[in-house]
Amino acid sequence: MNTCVIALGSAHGDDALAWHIADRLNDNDTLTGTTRVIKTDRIGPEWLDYWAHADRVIVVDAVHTGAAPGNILRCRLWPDPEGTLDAQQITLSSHDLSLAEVLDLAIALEQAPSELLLFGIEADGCRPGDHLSAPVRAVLPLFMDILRAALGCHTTSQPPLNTDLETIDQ
Amino acid sequence: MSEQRIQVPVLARVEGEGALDILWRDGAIEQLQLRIYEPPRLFEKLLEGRDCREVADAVARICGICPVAYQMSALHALEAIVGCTPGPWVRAMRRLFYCGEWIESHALHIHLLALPDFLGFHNAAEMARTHADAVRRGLRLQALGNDLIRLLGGRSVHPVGACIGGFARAPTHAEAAALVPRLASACDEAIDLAHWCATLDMPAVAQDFTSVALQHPDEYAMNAGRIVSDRGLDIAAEAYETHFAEQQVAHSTALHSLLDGAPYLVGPLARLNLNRAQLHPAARALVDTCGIAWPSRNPFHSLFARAVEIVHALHEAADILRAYREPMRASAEWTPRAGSACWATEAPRGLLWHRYTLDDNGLVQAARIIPPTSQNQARIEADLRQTVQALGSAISTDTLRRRCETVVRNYDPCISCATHFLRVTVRGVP
Repeated sequence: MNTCVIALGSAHGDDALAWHIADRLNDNDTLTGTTRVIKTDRIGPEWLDYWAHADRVIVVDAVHTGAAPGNILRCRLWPDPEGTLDAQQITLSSHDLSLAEVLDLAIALEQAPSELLLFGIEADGCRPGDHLSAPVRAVLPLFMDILRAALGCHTTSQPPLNTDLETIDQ
Repeated sequence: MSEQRIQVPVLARVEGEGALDILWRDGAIEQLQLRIYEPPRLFEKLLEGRDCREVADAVARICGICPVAYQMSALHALEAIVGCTPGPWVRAMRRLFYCGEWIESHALHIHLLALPDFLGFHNAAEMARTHADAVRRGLRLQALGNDLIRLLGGRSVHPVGACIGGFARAPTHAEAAALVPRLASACDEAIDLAHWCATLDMPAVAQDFTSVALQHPDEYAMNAGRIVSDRGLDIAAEAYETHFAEQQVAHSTALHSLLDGAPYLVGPLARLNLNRAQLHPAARALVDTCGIAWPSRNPFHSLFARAVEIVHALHEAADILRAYREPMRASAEWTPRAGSACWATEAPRGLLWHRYTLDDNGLVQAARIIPPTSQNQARIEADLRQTVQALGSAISTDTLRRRCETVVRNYDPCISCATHFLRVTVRGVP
């Protein structure tokens, strides 16, 4: 299975967590030849090119759901049997398109991946100049294990992804 | 007394965050405000004290869609201060760089932001269900523009390759040659796009406005030229502040810019109105045969103008790359010195004017940046007033709201670009 990991973030505080994770994947892991890792600071139509040859896409990002900082979130965005990712309701984006709009565009153009997953960590703060917060740093090893297992480059005892929305409390 | 309030709390399909409020009372517009509420970004102040070598990378951060424009206006102004005159290779590459930005920005605007309005769809995804080939063409053109930027800038968003004196690195001949077939192929697609845009059912409006653009004696102006209008203005960039004035309005974090006290238009339609004779022959042929009377007084012809400029930029980029030779050096030498200078270039959305003052060590003492969206903001409000007044209150609020959104989007406003600066007046301080 070809997998594209899109690490979405910035250099600021916990928003940088996806870039940290992408760097660790690229530097320390033996990724299979079927995995591509992309670091980006924005969502846009170029994502259709990123995942052009991928069966599965994993978006890694800082999330803000109201849970405790450091909570791990795994969410299947597509296929979306519940219809929770409604592009018409998610139009706010400071640049180009929102993720829901990009996915909607990809579906319309028959360029959507077979599966789109979101792997996130609840952020504590994203102030310019800040480093990763303590709760996010603490959970990074577990998050890496989960991601490596999903990518097939490491074996752990992590549970399989068997629900559409799952949080892992620390 | 009848009162109708039209509110668009969040403008979709524009870059940045803005809103529109219209109060209609007794058959007349009582209040019309294009509100830009995105926080000011204070770039001019942020640059103060920075080494002039940092400016190009910093101002590229103003916009993810048009970073090249900010780099070009800044670098030319800084080179004017330090007395650096890059040679013809750098000049050609800077035009190529700008071609890439025009292509990606115009392709994005036409296909993903504007066309849904003219074809009756709510967004690009909805449009893609019945116009998939057109959307794919738009994405291909945008990607090609991004690749041109990447060739010289190292990356397509916030490129880092441009510097005072030229570029950090020259592309290899193989890198340059690889893009030529794609450009040649895209030229035909862009011509089809322009033909299509010319036949779309646009509102037939005629408005009285002043077009302002750079004009150069030898080329379709991008990086150099005098600032001209179709009403007799013809000035060097240094005289900009004599004729153009920015003013703060309470409802916007972006300043409004006026030419001799009146709104004016910058951008692709203004450029075609003033400089269409200098387009590449393939683009000029489109202009001559499209059935539009030039100069155009219909702001909606901006869509066609963008398509024409894509054709021009593709042809010019292909010509530059076919003649490409690797240089001995990718940038000219220079040393810091004190001074002040200003420069204007043509961003995808129109005239972009910068002024910088440096000290003896090359540290920025003052910076001023006037982006095209600030310059168009008063014109957008004038267009909205005329549009709403012409349509009257007989049509439904939903129809009027949608038409007003179409009017705003037609200018391709880049709101994030326009919110650099907030003038703060402190009163009563002892």
